[in-house]
Amino acid sequence: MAYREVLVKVFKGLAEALLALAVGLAVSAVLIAIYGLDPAKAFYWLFYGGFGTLGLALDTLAYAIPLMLTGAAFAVCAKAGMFNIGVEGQAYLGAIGAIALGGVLARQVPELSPAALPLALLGSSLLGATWALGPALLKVFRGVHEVISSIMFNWIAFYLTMYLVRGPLVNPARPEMSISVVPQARFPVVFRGSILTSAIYVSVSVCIAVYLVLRLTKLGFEMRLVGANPDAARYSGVSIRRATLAAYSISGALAGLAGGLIVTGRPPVWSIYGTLGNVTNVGFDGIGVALIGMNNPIAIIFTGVLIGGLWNGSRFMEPYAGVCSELSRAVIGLIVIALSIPELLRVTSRYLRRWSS
Amino acid sequence: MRPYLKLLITAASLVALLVALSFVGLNPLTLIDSALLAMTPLALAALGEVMNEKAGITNIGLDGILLISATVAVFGAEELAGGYGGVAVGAAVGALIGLIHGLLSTYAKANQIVSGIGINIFAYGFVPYFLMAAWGFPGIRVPPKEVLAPPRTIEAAGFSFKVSELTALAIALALIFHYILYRTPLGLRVRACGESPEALDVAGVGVYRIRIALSTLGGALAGLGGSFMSLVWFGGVVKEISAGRGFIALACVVASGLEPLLALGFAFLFGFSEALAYAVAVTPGVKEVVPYHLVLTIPYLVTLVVVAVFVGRRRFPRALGQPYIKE
Repeated sequence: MAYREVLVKVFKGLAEALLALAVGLAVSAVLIAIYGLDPAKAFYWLFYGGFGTLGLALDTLAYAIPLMLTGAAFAVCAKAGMFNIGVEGQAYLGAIGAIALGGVLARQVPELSPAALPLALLGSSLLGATWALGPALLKVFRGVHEVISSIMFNWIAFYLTMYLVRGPLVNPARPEMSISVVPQARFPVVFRGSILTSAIYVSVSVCIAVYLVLRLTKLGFEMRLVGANPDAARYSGVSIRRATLAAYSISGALAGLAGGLIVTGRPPVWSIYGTLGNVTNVGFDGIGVALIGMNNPIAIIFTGVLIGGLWNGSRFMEPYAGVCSELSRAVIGLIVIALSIPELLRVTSRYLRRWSS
Repeated sequence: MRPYLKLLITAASLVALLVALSFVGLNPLTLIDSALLAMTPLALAALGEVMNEKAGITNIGLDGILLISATVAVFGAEELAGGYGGVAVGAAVGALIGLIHGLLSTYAKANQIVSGIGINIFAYGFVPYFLMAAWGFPGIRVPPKEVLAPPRTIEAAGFSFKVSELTALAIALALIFHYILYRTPLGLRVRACGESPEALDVAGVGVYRIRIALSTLGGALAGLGGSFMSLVWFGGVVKEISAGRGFIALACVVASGLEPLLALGFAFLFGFSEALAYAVAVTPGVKEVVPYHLVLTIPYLVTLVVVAVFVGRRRFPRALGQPYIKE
């Protein structure tokens, strides 16, 4: 492909994402203004908190670590023509997998503790992939739409995780959280004073790897073909069943890894809160990350940072502008709604031209 | 007739389960009572969705509509005085979201699943924000009792039933929708809208208009269900009030193959499993053995099993989820 084409594609994607972001912010500004609060102030703190100083930007990168992976997880399924809304639950289970192998097992078998980090990540991706197989098998063998089944799996994962974190896996010394992973299973902090750990290298390289798998391998091609045109895939001898199961397991493994990296890669707790506070919403916001990034794993690295910035910055909106931090999630939702319109850019420019003439 | 037969078998096993439970000390009548309450929001949302899916529009944002309307309904009840005022506000908000989804799905040719996901994510952020902005307290609002619309208590056969008008409405709507869909020209148009919009267009009937109207209706009914949860059933709102019920309602729709009466049946089944979960969770003797959080997974497990059994070879409208593009 010529450089020009790539540039045009990137520019169009960027413009579309920015347009959607503008729509999201504009509608939220109305919501903020209705309650007599100041939208300009809220957005100033939202973006200052996300990217205002070097320290804050580093924290933003730390929040982006799992979001890139849940984004990539959603994108893999989306490329194969499916909606994995179950990334949320798969991430919970991934966090449990990291605790189970990197916390419980590594403590019980001390010989394993030097390998605790790879073990923890293996546990998280395996458990995530296993959890994703449920909806995948129901889809393949019973024709159950994955959107419905994966939400059921999400809620089962939610209560199961809550049970485990408060019951069998509870930290006896600090009952408000689970057992932590052993120190060998914790990523080192990159800059002192920041919560950014070297886990960022893992998520960035995994995103690149996902891109390469989708682009260059036979499996990736088959998955994309099934997503783009299932009939063509069938006639050319591609097993839709196999591609579906593969896409779902890869997606689940990525989502599980995201949960694992929250536990092993973000100070200070190295465990799961009893409220699940540090793992919730990482999946749903990952859907936003993927859609804004047009399901392109390379773009998702950057949109992950954008949404990570919203997470980080939203903590500043509450004390400084009186706007509840959760509003950032409403912004993400509005962006997704705006992006549901295909050719958003073209439609908007057409209407603008009509109005101006 | 096979799905009806399966449902009959399910109903029979439910009766058997009830009899069995009465030996453990659970009152089956209490269960039916709370099952009807739990059924209502599911049934209202599912019936609306059946109608808009018949016309070709899928709205997976039901969960978000339930959440938003449950919250705004409480605000409406407190500000406009009165429970049913609040219910009306909730329904209106639901209708507005349904209308937006309808407009996006027709004129803007949006991807309906993505739009629905967006509605849900928006709701997960909007509801905590709204609770904080309106009442300055995070995550929960319990309004004064006077502004609620609690279910009426009816004494019958030595037992007091709690019944809400909205439950009766849900049952009536299932019958009405069934009649409209299969016995009236309007129903024929709705079905044609989902099956072969081109034909309808050629016949001079506006496809977009029907789809938008039904998407609005679907939103309004989901809004009614949401208001029911906060104002009639729970008497307050928390930021997770819907607890995935919008998706359970979608499961009703899918399992019913878009038949209003069957959808009502499934809503009762899921409502019953929810009532059962709560009954089990508080039963002495059981609650010590089975962990509370695991009991709460029962409704979702039941939903998965039921959908897996019933969805089988269902036929859905040909143009479901597809934007209609005029030639």
